[in-house]
Amino acid sequence: MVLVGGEAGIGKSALVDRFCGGLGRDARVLVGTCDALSTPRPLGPLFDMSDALGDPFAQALGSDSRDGIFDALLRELRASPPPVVVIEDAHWADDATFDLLRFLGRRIGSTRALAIVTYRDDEVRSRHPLRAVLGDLATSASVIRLGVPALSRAAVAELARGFDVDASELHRTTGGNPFFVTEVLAAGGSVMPTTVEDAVNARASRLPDGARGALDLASVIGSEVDPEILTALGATPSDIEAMLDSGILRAAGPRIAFRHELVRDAVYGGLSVPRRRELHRRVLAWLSHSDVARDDPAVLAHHAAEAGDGKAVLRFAPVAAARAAALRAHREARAQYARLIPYLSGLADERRAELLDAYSTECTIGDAFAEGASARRQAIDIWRRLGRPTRVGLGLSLLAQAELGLGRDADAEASNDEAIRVLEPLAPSLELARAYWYGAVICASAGDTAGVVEYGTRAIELCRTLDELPMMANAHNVIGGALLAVGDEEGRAHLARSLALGRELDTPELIADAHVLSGTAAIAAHRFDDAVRELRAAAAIAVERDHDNIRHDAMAKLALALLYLGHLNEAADAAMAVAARPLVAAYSRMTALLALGRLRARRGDPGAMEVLDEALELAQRSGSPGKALPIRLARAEAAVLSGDTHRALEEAEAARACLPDHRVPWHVGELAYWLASIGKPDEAPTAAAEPYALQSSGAAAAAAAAWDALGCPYEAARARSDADDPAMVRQALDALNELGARPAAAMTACRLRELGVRGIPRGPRPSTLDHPAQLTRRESQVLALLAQGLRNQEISARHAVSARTVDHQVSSILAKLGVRSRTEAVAEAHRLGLLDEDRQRETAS
Amino acid sequence: MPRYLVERTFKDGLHIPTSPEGAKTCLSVVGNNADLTVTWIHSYVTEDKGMTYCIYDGPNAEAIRKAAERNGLPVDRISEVSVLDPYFYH
Repeated sequence: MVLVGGEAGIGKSALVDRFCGGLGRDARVLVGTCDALSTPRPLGPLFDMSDALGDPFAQALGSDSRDGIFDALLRELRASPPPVVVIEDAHWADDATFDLLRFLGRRIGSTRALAIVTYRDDEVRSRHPLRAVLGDLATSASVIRLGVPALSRAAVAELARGFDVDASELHRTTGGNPFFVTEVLAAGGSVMPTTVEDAVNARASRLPDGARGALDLASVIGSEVDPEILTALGATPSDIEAMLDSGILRAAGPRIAFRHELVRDAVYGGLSVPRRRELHRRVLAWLSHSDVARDDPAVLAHHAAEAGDGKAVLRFAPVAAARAAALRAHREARAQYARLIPYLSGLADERRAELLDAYSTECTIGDAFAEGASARRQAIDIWRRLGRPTRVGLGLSLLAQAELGLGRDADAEASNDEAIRVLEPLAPSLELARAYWYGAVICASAGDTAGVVEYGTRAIELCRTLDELPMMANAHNVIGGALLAVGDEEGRAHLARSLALGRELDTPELIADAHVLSGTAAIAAHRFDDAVRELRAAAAIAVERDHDNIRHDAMAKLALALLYLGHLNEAADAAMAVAARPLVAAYSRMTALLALGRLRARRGDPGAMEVLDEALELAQRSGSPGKALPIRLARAEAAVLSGDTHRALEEAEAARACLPDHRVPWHVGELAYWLASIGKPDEAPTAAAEPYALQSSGAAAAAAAAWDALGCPYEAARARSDADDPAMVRQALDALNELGARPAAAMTACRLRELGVRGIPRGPRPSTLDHPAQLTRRESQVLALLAQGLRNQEISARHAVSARTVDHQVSSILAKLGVRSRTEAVAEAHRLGLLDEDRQRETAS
Repeated sequence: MPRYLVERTFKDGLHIPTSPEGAKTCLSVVGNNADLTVTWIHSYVTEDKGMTYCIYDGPNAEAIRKAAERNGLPVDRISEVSVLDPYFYH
């Protein structure tokens, strides 16, 4: 697959056309273009190609089964002779086509076909969905990137030969953009147009009136136009001739096409708003009576929206939305539903509520939770007024899902509880089962295992009565995950049941969910190899099924597991894959930032506390106290690694404050570790996990071995660095350097020096809150006064002791700090952090 | 975009020839960086070519590291920096 990127007008299509033209007569070239519609037709390029591909493919295309369509395409790629597939303007692609690109990029290596994809790289900035696709494809061996450069001054001069124009000025004005250059040359005239629009309009203004009107019309229709439409709407054959003669349009098979999308842009942009609307109205009217209405509702919805024709929007947009949703082009479905919003008030209540519900569902799938929640609330209000409690109940439970996605756990719980209250008095229903299941999900999020089991069991029983197997599988999933997370092996039976159901019902999403829950439980139990395996399986299924929600969750947790296994680069990739996306569920983003924060802290990279700040905010916003605990521990680590012991103590104390009743040994152990390392050891942590317990009892080697057994190289090296044996500390230093763990390595190097080992580079000293210099309290007070510049006499007066006593105290201070003068003593005291406020308060009295 | 200072140690010294080959190397670095929206501004190289201090613009430290990996360059330390010159307050 070749990705051809370049700015608009740089000649990507010209390059590809020339290449395909040179392939010889036998070559099979399939071309599809992505439209510059505000809501493109899902899989538009494939529809373009279907004429050239024959019946079996056309059938698959008509089936609305996305997997079927992709498989059919793959068969075509494997046919003989292998085709060249060209997809133009991928920056305008719809969601389903983005997945097509991923699919092609992954599979094309196993065929002998060639895929060429052109796109405007200057329009694909960080938040553009194509950027994510390019990122995903970057690591594929069968994908090549090609940039098309601008024309050099010499090349522009060559083109301008014979024209009365200054080649240097032309090159400067156009930036070497071939399209712009040719437009300027074609415009003629004495004044050089400074923009593409000016150049195009100069050319267009030379057309006779009738042709100019036809040109406007053509710009509204699209980059390729069927002449039939033009004549039906009043263009004469001579108008069309004139347009072709001027070179603004050219013949493209049976149709006529704009010379370049930029030309169409310029003409369309020159239309006044009323004129534009008028033209869209006329095109819409004609298209509504044609086959296009049935085949391509997206195009009609587009014209209807641009024409401001509410009735037409209401007629075509829902069809287009449903079609897009079926093809899993969820962004397009959402956009089509969004078009309806200004016109909803004209509808009957029930229809309005249904459309709002459908819109909300599409929003939730795409993690656009704020819009989803708002639409859902409106729908619920309508159902309430219509006296439809079942729909109200379902709506409330779905609203809870959006609220959880926004990180508002307390709100989600309230909404779901209300859903249950509304649904329970009614006859047993799937809606109630769903509300029970979601109640369990919310409890799982809050770490309330008893709640999960209670709600989950109710869901399972109701599902058994109703014979609703998919929802039953969901319930088994959430119970299984919650039990495993607290070490209850019962959980396995539940996950096994839901996996079996998922396979029986052929519902990959259920299987992916089960894998995520297994993986999450494995992380909690520090079985990181298992976790990676489960989460990768989940992510693979989620990618295939275009389920962003599951994918983000799996990747975020995968990042954490990879971090602990010491695979830092892969952990970074996984974390960034989630953290860099604009629309992600709050719980997934929180986990990704947690992983990223620890990673940056361990590497000594900038931005560690910054992402942990946001993670903490997300945790606190959820209203669920337990969520903050792992983040507080990560913040303590970041603080220790950057030498900020006061901050570390703050974070450790905050962590202690959010320890739940059911204490997880790993959390207890890590907390004890941080407290000990900043010199404020807690009472003996009896409930700590084994490696931490060994560590706090001073058995460094045993602790390291325990970490090694878990596959955690960083923690193992950290344990070794506390040993008394210099050889072991040296081993730790080598391991930390190998991992790229700069702060810990520096501290370890310092430790080696303290142990008397030579030849190590100097590093920052680890500091403790207790006096490293072992000054007495009185000595600390004297030191503080020295720092304020007081002389011995003043100090003796202040403390009401003899001058000799003060002399002795100062000598002792100098000796303990290993310096030779008061000035050095004060400097050293600052360096060791002995003089800041907290310490002052401690020692003063 | 934040600016970063990247410190690199080259055990065998960094030797980029002043030839078309060398130019190609530098341009391929630029190309790999561009894929990650990372921009190499310039570098300071020590006399013995054993260390470089490189100024980069990029979205985050992870992108800088990825670019380094693709270009086969070592990374000792990454710091976020901002520019201050003598006439800053003028």
